[in-house]
Amino acid sequence: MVTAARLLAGAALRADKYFQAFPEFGPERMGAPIVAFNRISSRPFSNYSQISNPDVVVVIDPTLLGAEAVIAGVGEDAIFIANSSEEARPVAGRLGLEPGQVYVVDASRIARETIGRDIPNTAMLGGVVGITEIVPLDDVIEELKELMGEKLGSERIEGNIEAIRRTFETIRAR
Amino acid sequence: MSHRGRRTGSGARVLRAPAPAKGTIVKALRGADAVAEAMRQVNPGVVAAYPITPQTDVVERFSEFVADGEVGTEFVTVESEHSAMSACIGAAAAGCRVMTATSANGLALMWEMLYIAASYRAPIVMAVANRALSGPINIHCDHSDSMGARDSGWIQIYSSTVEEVYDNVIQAVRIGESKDVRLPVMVMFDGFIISHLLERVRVLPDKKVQSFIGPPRPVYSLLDIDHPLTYGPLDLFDYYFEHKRQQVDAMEYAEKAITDVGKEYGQVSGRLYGYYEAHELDDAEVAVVALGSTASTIKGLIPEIRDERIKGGLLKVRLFRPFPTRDVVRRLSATKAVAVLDRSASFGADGGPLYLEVSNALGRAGAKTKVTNYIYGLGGRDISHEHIMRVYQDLTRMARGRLKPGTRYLGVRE
Amino acid sequence: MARKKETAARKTRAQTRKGRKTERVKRAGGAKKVRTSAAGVKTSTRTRKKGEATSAIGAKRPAGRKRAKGRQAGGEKPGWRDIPRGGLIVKAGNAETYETGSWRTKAPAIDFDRCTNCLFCWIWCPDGAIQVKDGKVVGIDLFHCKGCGICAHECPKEAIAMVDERRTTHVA
Repeated sequence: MVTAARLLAGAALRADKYFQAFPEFGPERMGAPIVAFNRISSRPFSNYSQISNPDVVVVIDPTLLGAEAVIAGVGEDAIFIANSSEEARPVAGRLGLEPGQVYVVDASRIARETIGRDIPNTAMLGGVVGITEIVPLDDVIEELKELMGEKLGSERIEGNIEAIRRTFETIRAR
Repeated sequence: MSHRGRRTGSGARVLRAPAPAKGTIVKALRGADAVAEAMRQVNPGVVAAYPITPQTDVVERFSEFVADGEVGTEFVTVESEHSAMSACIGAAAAGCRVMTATSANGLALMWEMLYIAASYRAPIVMAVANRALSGPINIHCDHSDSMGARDSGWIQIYSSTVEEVYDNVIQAVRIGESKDVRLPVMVMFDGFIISHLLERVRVLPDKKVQSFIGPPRPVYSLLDIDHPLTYGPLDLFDYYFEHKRQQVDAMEYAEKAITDVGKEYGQVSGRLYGYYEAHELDDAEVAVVALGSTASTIKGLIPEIRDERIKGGLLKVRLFRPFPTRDVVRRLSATKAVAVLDRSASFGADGGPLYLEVSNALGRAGAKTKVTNYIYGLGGRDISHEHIMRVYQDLTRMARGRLKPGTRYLGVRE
Repeated sequence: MARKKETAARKTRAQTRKGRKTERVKRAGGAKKVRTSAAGVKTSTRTRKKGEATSAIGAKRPAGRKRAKGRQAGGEKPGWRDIPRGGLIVKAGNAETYETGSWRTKAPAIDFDRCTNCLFCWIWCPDGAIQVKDGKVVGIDLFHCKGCGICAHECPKEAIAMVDERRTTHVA
């Protein structure tokens, strides 16, 4: 989760953009819901407040799609990208959002098929980039290779790259 | 984000510093990484530190550099912050260049050693991730830790972006070791808000940093066996007062050293540092005084404030010790109303520590400016754009006599 | 022999030290010269020669800022600009000029008939107050002896006894 925010920021740096990435401050507990944030802009900005009205919300854990917290501060212009096996319409209905705001991709399934485990974090990055085009897809992939290459090994890195590409293509096909 | 220097007037652009140093690399670093990176480049003789959230990542990262042989530092692991500072003092007395880092309760545990470091005139550099002091238990940002140490005799520099904390750590080495200064320096950065925030940092080449700081030049060294000396003798009423008077004097020298070092760093890095930062103050009717990350947030909001037809400016305090009293008077006495934002409370006092300084400076200078105080963000409570806009709106009312100055609390539940 | 040389050298150094401070203390029976250390402990001049005492702080004025020679008025000490920063004592060896003998309540007395010159007392003495010449104990340096009694305790021949001494130079 925090890694995904880190990857997105790293990709922004590659694209010579200005960025911030920060976790929800405080102790992290395995399994507990966690939140991480990014600010990305092509121009310098100076803002150190917390993010309360996001432009884009990404929900990686589908079990959180009913939670009140995931729609807090989400305005009419905001984009909502969810990992879910459902269609966008019922998800939007459940969250009280406009169907046009909500994009859904089954990142968990893609992760299982590519990485072999239900770790949809990197896969979701493909979805985010696919919809927002905030950074080029190649920069995300390059950043992933550099940041995680050593830790994951070439086989798993390839799986992750494949996951990112597939969610990118899947979400853009809609 | 990377804007630096002083805006010359309403809408004026940032004064451009000299071109960035060749070989500068833009990296994505968190505040804690940036401190560790600066420490790696400084390559101090001794680091003694004890981990504490949110500073932990600094020493963790730095100890990796030690383990990987990227620095020649003697890393002293200790059992408490009290021992960390004690070891630092000993190493500094031996003539070493010494660095450490801590936060909140760790800083509190160092307390008695802070005074000893300053009174021994040991130019130790310590990064402080600002965090609330318990209790009740809180690990998030406020400035009550370092504000409590404001009279310990340390130079105190507040950083308001990740890049600034990197720059300040490097400059602190030079400032503290300056000839007539010889004082320890605390470099503050907001816990989590800066320490765990990933941002762009323009990292200087290692060689540039080394040539900027130069080799350590201790005045005295306990290891200089040809000139044996004693640290820490009994001073009592005969000499203690004189030694404290010397420390006051050292702070006066520090003012010049900080300005000189900031300028020189500008030549080296392309990033000029002044004693403080002024934003849109030249024609300002009202102004806010703030430090830390909040000052950066306000800076980013000033265009919006100007759009609201509020002639608002910002004075960002970089040095809290020594305090820029003359600059405060010079830049603010023409304004009608000033709000001072404090991220710590001084219980039983007439306002927060920053407010007391500003209010005293303007009051003693006979300025007619109304000065008001806002306590905010205690224990990591967020300060939002709405809060800041409200402060400027309050100030315009105050300037017209429709609101009385006083101490107010931003974001507390009534 | 080496020790003797060293003592002589120290003496010379001490004599050339500047910043000597004396003050007159009125006492019943007349004035007595007293030196004051940085620690504010008044010390008797009983066993010291003139010019040997120095400030424990090792204060030294920078060149060109010398103090007027001669006796200073009572309590006058260098100002904050003229003392080493940080309370450092930058001149070593001035413990020699600091009288700890005034703390004594009992003094060691050596029975030279019993003494075998094993020098245990010399090894154990925390203040280097056992005077030794050519490998033989010759006396006690009462300027530094605090009267702790360790020498008497350690002496295998019970040649040292702690005895009351007539003190005439206690300072108020």
